[in-house]
Amino acid sequence: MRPKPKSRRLHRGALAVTLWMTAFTAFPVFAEEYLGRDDFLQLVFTDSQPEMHMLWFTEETRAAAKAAVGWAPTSLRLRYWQADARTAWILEDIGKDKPITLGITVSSKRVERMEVLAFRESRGWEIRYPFFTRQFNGLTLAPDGYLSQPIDGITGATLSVRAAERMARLALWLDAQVQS
Amino acid sequence: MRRRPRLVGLLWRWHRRLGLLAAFFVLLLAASGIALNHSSELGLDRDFVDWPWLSRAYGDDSSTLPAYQLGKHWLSRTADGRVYFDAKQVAPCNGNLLGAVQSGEMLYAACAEQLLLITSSGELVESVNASTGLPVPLTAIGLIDATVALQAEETWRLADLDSMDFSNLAPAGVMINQFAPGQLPETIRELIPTPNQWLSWERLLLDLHSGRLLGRIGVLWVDFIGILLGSLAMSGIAMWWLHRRRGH
Repeated sequence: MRPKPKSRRLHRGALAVTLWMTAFTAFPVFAEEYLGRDDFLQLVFTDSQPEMHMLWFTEETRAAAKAAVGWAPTSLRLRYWQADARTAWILEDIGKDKPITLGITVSSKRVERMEVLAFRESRGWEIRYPFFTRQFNGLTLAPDGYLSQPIDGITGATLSVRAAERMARLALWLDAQVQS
Repeated sequence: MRRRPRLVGLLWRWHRRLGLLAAFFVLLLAASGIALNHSSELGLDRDFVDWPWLSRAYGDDSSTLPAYQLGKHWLSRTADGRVYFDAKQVAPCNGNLLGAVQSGEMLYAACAEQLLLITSSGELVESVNASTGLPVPLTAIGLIDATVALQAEETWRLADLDSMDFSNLAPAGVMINQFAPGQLPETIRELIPTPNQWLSWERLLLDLHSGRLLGRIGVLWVDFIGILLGSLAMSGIAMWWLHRRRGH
């Protein structure tokens, strides 16, 4: 029996690898988790230890949030972290189909930093990049409930951009509630 | 001066092998990329995939509605990932519904990537996930006396949901009470709206194109294909250059 040529064996090996990789198509799709809670808090509170607080929502506060910024979380309570006058909020909202989780810090009624902690949509993940999130730094809540400056959108990520704007507005409004 | 022909031969052989390995994925990426560029015109964002096995791979199964009875009430999860308290919609819940327990007045619904805290009247108190400190993926939920215990990575942990601390392990040998899933009564099932189709062709193609269909492995694999294509370009340029020099 003649031994198989080396190149033939290599070609068969390449084909086997290809088929093996395609067989993975039944694997479940996972969410993209970029940053955990503790990592986010360490990132934003570098020189202080924040305390965790809980903010409870009543029908009245939820209605007030909707009136002020057009959106309110559906849960009865929300956690936030505070050190001195700075507050950090982890908020979640649906872009198109799946929830997006953002971490937002507010200081002196301005957005200090925004980070995308988890993104579960198929499209629009570009909002996680600093070129987008940096636009929110320093923005305040305008009297009409919108941000003090418009945010540049990203083609193909309109719904994710809108969700990020909604969450930034809510974080500013919530900060004002707990500071007052 | 036999070194150069040997180098060209080696480059040619590897160029061919890598090309063969990359060919299928290049065609796949090219076809999905062209389709995605015209997804609106082709209606891919409005057409839905009707393959139950693929929905199951995404973690949703509309053929069965997992449900747990807690006292007089039922907690269930629909195929589009929403948890219901009887027929009242509570909140989205990522991953399959793994179990539910009741401790005092509070109900807890555990999905693979999320834990919902629900009042006994069906209102969402809080939704907890990895971003808020939950160990994921969860594999089970139970009660140790009145304390909620969660299983992740084959380890049972006590859940302190006031301080969001999941670091305490359950004592060895302790009894953990778990509820078995049940059959949602037809009277409730009829009131829960059938979820709209949610897996569009556009989303499937996007996940295929980016490799996200296979989770992290898929993304790394697409990265590898990118490196492979870069190598093909480099070996092609090198062969052209060496061949051109040999011609002079």
